[in-house]
Amino acid sequence: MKKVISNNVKVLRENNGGISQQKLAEAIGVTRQTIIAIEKNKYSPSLEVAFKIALEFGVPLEKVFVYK
Amino acid sequence: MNFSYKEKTLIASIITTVIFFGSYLYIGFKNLNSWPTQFGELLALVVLFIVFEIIIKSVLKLESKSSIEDERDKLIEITSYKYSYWALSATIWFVIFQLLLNTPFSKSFNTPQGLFYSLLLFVILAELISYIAQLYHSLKGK
Repeated sequence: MKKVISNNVKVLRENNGGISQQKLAEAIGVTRQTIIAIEKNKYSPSLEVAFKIALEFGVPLEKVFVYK
Repeated sequence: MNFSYKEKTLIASIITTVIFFGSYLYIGFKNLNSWPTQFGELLALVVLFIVFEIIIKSVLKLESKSSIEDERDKLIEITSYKYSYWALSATIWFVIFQLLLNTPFSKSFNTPQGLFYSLLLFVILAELISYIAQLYHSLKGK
């Protein structure tokens, strides 16, 4: 079976005081549309953005993105 | 639908390109034999088009919350240029083969005006394909 990259960005947002997509996007330096695309697994971000998201939530990268 | 700054600018670019260059090409093709191509005319059109685009983008920037372009926008742009390149290549090859095979259609390219307006049409079409592809990929991610 083909492995895919999925993520927990939406769950992490909700668990971190319900931070909005716009606020997260501004903190990372991307557009809200990019956050929407990431959450829907329609876009895999660069390593830099992936690390920034993990840092923003204070969790390791593998807690945000899963390859399975 | 809630469009982003990038999507709004793409829509504006599509409309502006169609209006400006569409009308120029329409008049050009309509008067193919009676209206010689003027360099100054095309230059004025391009300058007017750029000024109009700058004004529209500035207005859209003012009314948008965020006007940044990120890595996804750049990736979409690169992907779209690929479509644009293929479209332009295909149309250029189309002209070459028409001329080589001396088809009835090749008569349109026999005059400098005919060739000029045809090539301009293909360049504008390639540009439009790039804009539409960017818009499609941008909206697809939502």
